[in-house]
Amino acid sequence: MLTITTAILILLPFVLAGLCLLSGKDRALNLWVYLCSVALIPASMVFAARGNGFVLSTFDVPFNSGLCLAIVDFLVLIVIASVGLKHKHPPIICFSFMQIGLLFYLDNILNPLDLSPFIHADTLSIVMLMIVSVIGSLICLFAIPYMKKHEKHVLLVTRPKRFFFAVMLLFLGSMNGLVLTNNILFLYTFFEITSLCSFWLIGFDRTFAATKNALKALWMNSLGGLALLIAVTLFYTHLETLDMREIITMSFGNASLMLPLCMLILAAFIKSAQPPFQSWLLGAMVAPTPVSALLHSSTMVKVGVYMAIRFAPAYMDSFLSVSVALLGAFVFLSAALSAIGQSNGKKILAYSTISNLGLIFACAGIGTSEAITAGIFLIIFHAVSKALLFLCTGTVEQKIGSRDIENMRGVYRLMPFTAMMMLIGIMTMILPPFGMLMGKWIALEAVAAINLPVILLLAIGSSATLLYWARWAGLLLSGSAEDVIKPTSTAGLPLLTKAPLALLCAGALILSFFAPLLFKIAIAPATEMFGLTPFAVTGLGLGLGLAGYQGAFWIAPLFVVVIVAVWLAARLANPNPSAARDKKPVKHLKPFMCGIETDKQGTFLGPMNKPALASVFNYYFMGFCTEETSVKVFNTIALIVLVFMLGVSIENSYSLGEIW
Amino acid sequence: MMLSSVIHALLIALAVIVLAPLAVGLYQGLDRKLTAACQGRKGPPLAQPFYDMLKLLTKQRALASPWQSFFATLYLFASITALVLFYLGADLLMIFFISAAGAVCFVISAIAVPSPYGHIGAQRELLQVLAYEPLLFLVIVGFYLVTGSFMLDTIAAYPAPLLLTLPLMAIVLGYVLTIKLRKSPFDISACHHGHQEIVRGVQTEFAGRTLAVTELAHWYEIALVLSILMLFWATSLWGALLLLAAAFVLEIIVDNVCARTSWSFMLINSWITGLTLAVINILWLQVG
Amino acid sequence: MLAKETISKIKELLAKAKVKSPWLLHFDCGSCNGCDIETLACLTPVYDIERFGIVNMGNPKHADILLVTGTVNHKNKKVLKNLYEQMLSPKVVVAIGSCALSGGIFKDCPNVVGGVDKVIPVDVFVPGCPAKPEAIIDGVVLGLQKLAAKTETAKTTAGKPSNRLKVKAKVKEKVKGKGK
Repeated sequence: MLTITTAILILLPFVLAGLCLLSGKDRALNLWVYLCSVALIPASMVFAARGNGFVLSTFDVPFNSGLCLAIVDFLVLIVIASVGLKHKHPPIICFSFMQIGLLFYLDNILNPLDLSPFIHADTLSIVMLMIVSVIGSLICLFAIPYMKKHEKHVLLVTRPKRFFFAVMLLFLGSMNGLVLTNNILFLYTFFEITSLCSFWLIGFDRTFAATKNALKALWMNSLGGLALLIAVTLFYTHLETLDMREIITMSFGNASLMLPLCMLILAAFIKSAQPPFQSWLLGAMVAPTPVSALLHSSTMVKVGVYMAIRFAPAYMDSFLSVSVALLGAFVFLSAALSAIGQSNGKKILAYSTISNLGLIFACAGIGTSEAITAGIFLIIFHAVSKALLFLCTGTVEQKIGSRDIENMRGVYRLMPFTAMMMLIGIMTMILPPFGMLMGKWIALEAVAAINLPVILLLAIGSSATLLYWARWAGLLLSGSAEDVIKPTSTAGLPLLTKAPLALLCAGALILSFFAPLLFKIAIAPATEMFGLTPFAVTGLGLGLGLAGYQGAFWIAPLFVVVIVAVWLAARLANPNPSAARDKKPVKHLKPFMCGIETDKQGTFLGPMNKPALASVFNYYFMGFCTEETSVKVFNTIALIVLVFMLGVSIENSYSLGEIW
Repeated sequence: MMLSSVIHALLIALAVIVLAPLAVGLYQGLDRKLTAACQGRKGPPLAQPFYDMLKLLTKQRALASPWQSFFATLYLFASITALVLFYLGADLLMIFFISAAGAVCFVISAIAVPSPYGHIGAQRELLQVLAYEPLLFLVIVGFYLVTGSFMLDTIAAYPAPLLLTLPLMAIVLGYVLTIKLRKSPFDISACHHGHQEIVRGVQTEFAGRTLAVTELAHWYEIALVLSILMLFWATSLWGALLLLAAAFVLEIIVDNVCARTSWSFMLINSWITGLTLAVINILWLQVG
Repeated sequence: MLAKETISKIKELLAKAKVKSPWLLHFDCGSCNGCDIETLACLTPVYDIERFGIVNMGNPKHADILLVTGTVNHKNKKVLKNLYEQMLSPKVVVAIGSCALSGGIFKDCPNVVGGVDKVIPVDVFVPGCPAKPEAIIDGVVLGLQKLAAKTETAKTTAGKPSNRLKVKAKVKEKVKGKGK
């Protein structure tokens, strides 16, 4: 049965993607997308319940998986090469041909038996699977009304909508395959497929900016693919195996394998858009919002951190882990500082994603069981909250026509539901007792005694994080008392827009509440190889909180406090006093403008005795450092660390053993 | 046994909720008296902060925006929760985050009103948070490195005064206290009584009961920082009170001597000085 | 019984707090600054009105007492009205100096409205040109007595002249009656 479930999870989206390409009408297209969601969500839940430890080898499948793999691999690379040739883009051509050549070499020396077992699921895979399937399906459902409106908005010639959904479904299938696979060559294949999907989706609008950014994403991801293929080849030539678990156990402490590990980490960094490779993610924000939500915050960029955590036992306690930790912490701080200087909503979300991914890399680098717990928690909660925020931003953008947060001032008046969802999304990102904060807490406690520079960077970074979220949350609600009490929402949003938002919001809250149980069931098994279980679930095992050796985080009591506080605050803020016990009239206060306010809201008596609008903007630190200079500085520092890491790995690998 | 510990916890919580504002109000009253003495004046009566707060409750019910009132109440709840958890012996890092959540709620309530002055004040408040949060966090890390735990019952039970091993951290906490108490030179977002900055800065649009709520929440925040200060000499009550008195006097002297600085000076100064002192202390701990 | 007693005690305390913590808003309608200097002199250590709990907040939303100096003219009467309306009741207006009382020596100028009470209801008039700090303090104290009598649902009677009690010259009486 699990085989069928796996087939549903990986192969069904491919099939449905093909069907999407063939469907001419919207109704058929929507049907395939519904079918995919309806299939993926239960399948992933079934797999989550039963699939821990599930192993599938090449002999269990009725087709020759080795041949299929080779065909798919070369096909993908040829497509990428042809894209490069079509757009005359030297890096893409170069990287793709190098990969084709290396793949030929690898397939020559490869023993087909080494392709097996190609699926081996453990709790980490299952966690990623749930994220991809559930959040991915919700985003695809959201995309149905979104793309309908997008088609009308974008006046330029785009590819047909069916191509969009085909690529989205293809992406879901390949992500599922990527997280379930145990074979590093399959990992590489799925890695490349996701790069290609990302290219197609970023360039979907076919504007000049979209094509440019899509090519940038493709060349950087191709570089990542090349690094990964080099790693795979080096692993195979050294260890004669492609089994990830065997590679991990055999690489631990083995200095001659530092170079392939370093290459793997480099591929992970590129995929997760860490500096100096973060420009592709920022450029990818030109894509339609479901793309940003799915690929560029919840799932595809998580591939890098997933690889880092999966391979963490291999490079534990080595120079690589220290440099990964340092670089991750540095990225956490630098991306947070960059986000403070941004007013474009999607770019803020992109920098926030990069920042949190840096934090997860830092956790993977530290490598204790607490740190890995933190990393996995952060993956889960970041995926949910960030997807919610991206979808909300997309909805708001379609309504007001802008993604600048300055234009979202007072959007609660226009779109109360979306503004509330966005507010709750931001709250779940930064406040206790929700999951993201809990993950950050675990990460900070894990790092505190181990690494002083990392803790310093994380300390400043976490304060910087609050800045750009708090002002965005406040902006959404800005409005006079009349505006807030009677929001002027016009036509309601379609159900397929509201439902994913509501479900993601509920998911973030419920998952946060059940975090201790989540830890016990899903995460503790994944951290076994890193050391003693870091936390015990307190409260009679019912999940009141997590208690560790050096600290405890209470969840259920804090949730109770939050619920009571929200209820009481809502009652006290009740603008309708006749409902209150005392029927005293409530005075509506106008903002202070030194007495020269006019009757028209928000204006004061300006020059020539005419009303002038009082406007105030957030401070974006223009005087301190603009985006160009700060990005240059951060990229340089990151590049130096990476080059150092590469150099040390090469030196270790060559001096202690031969490669060829 | 569980029931008695729950009742015990509730009694402590109640005591903290009632006594903390009284203590901080007294502290503020003494502050104003001593400041007046420094300036050659007589100063208001000791109970003045209580009169101020109670007077706000007698004002007309007014609303600038329901969201402002909503988040102000959340700010109060967060501050009270953080302080109560402190005295219940919970994880200090978790308490730090809850207190930060309160600060964020306060800023959101200030931005929720479309006011130029309030908005600028709120931006400055965020910069203040950016300035003091890393410092407070490193102080907590300092506690952890010495005592081996983040849990307050372990930290408070440490046999030696933490001041001996973490003297520079106490100075760093002084920076945090100056910013939290809204004293010059770091009172850039709003100033305590008698001074104006950008009209009333972040507090401009708060009025009546909402202002009373935020003031009360601020008092609980001050109580939290002062409690962390007292942790530096947790072994002896007189030692803790001595620390408290020393901080009290030093804050007033600094307030009366220094002029208000710009936000960039505050940020750079507190980061450079604060982080350097904290790092030196931590390195000294790790080496020695 | 006990509940009633506690409630009445709390009400007493609140009433006491109302006059023990008067916050000022000082608005200069366009005076020569003579009265303003005298008003600000009250805040200095010589007169030290902070010992009564008086603080000069610049914000009408926080203020209980509005001190107005200078002549109200046609340009800033709207401003004065706006500031008065932004204050939360119970509130008290103290007009300081002869310009605020009736326009003073500028009474016949074309742009002068003449007297603050033509724009907002005034509770206390403090004469003088400039008014002495002692008189200003007396005026504020008298205003506090009136504040004690007002409740939070006092309706604003903007524009209508209210009672026209003038401050008598008896200093001792005011000192005895202050800060109930």
